[in-house]
Amino acid sequence: MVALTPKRKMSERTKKVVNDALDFLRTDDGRQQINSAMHQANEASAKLRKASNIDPTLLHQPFTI
Amino acid sequence: MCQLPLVVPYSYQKLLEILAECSGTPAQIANQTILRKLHGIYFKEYFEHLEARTIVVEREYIDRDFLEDYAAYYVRCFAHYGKRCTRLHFFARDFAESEFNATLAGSDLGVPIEEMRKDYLGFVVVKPLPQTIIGRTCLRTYKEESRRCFPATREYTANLYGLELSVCTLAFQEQDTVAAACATSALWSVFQGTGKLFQHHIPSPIEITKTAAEHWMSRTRILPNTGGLTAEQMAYAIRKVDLEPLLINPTNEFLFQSTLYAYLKCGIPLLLGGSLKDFTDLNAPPLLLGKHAVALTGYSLGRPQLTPEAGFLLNASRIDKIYVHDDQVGPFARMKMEAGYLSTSWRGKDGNLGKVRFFPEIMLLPLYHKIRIPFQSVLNTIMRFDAIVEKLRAKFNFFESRIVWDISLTTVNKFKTNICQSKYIDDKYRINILKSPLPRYLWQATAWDGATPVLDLLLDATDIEQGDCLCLAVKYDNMLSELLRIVLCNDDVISAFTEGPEWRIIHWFRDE
Repeated sequence: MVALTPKRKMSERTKKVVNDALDFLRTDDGRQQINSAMHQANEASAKLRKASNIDPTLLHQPFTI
Repeated sequence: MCQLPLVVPYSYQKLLEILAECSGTPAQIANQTILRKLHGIYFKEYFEHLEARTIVVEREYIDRDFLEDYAAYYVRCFAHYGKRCTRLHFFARDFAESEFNATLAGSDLGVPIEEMRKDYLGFVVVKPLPQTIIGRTCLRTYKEESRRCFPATREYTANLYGLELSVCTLAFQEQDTVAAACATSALWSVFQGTGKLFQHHIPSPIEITKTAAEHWMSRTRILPNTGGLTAEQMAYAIRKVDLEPLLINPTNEFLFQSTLYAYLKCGIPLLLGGSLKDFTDLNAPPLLLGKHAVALTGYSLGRPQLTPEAGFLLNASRIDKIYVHDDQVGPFARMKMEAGYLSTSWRGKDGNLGKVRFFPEIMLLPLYHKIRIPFQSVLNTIMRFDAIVEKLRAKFNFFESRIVWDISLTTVNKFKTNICQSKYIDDKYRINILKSPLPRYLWQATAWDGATPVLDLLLDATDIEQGDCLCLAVKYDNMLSELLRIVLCNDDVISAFTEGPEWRIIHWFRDE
């Protein structure tokens, strides 16, 4: 894949955030928090998927007016 | 035959007189019929909004769609129905017949042609039928302010005695209850949009009705089309123009808003079907009027606050109104989103407006066959990805508030045109993106931090769902892009993530 992104110099703030995030995600607690957030996202997605199912009886009812 | 003068100053009363005259029925009957119709009331407000000043009456007009219906049905009636219509052209400018004639003659005393083009509001075809007289109607939309959007419009040209005029809109017509009921009329309007977008034949109303009946023969006669069409029949009619029908359940508000936004923003009009119920008598159960279908053609992003879905923020949740071609009301009729239903402009049994509610039941999308990845699959991917980013954002505050996502279908051409004009990327990066080969149809998920885009994820809409369909990420924000590149791709970190659909995004940054 062709690298598109121009190389930019990282600011000190960005370096700090990146390092802090790395440290956080290397801990069990950090990974657990991420997994918990994704689990909630999964549940929301599953709920939406269920809500998207069409009642098959509607398919044969004509739109008339 | 219509005996009206060629050019008439606009007024609501005059419009009603013209419609009555052009319908070909006795004036007294025609006046009563037209006054009872919702279209008259709707056009009154609509033309006031458009600031119509003059009507030009084009007599003896042959409308292709009406001619098809006439040849297939009306010609065999014992009663004589004309095959020629009258086309009314509307202008937001005052001029007299003498000035108009001077324009046609090329005289300097006429209205300059460029001015006429600028002030052209569109046209209404009046059919020579007793009651269902509103034929193909192409009128300018409401002004697109920051909240109103009409992405499914296209250009229509009208040659008025040699003058080339054009209007950007989507054609509308009322059902004639013979060749078309509401479903056919709604499908016809939808095909007006998809025909231009996906280059397919646009069938006339009677062609749509006959085609739909081939799939599932109705228990009763198809013509006159009083029995309407079912969702299956409409889906078949969509297949016959070489498109693929996608059926969605719109009863969940979040899904309804997000799906209509995702496809409509790309210019694809949708068909919305549901039940109409009269709530005039609040002390009694609502009266079911029947099932009705409309063509969804626009939306308004008017809600001040986003409505989160399990915390996830989508721009589409700001939709407070939709605009539909309701063949019983008019073009771009407004339906306001309420709790579980949409308000309409129909009259209740007490004769007052606003008492009838629309309860959506199905949404039918006609899609080009190459648009394979459904919106919900993309939504699922982005929701999971957003969960990771939000957890980090909340902990480290690299943005002040949660990212808002804007997810819609787009084309490679539209995307690259926007990149050309974007002020958020430097020139070298821009050129790299513009020269990248991309599929024809893309799902674009833009992450916004307030009014600033931070990330664009482009997913291949022509891929298979199990494929690695992220084809490009445009990174506007350095902080987020470094976070994704370094943090999420760290071997210690990514091993903890399950291989969900968000893996495609992480995988892309890892390999970049």
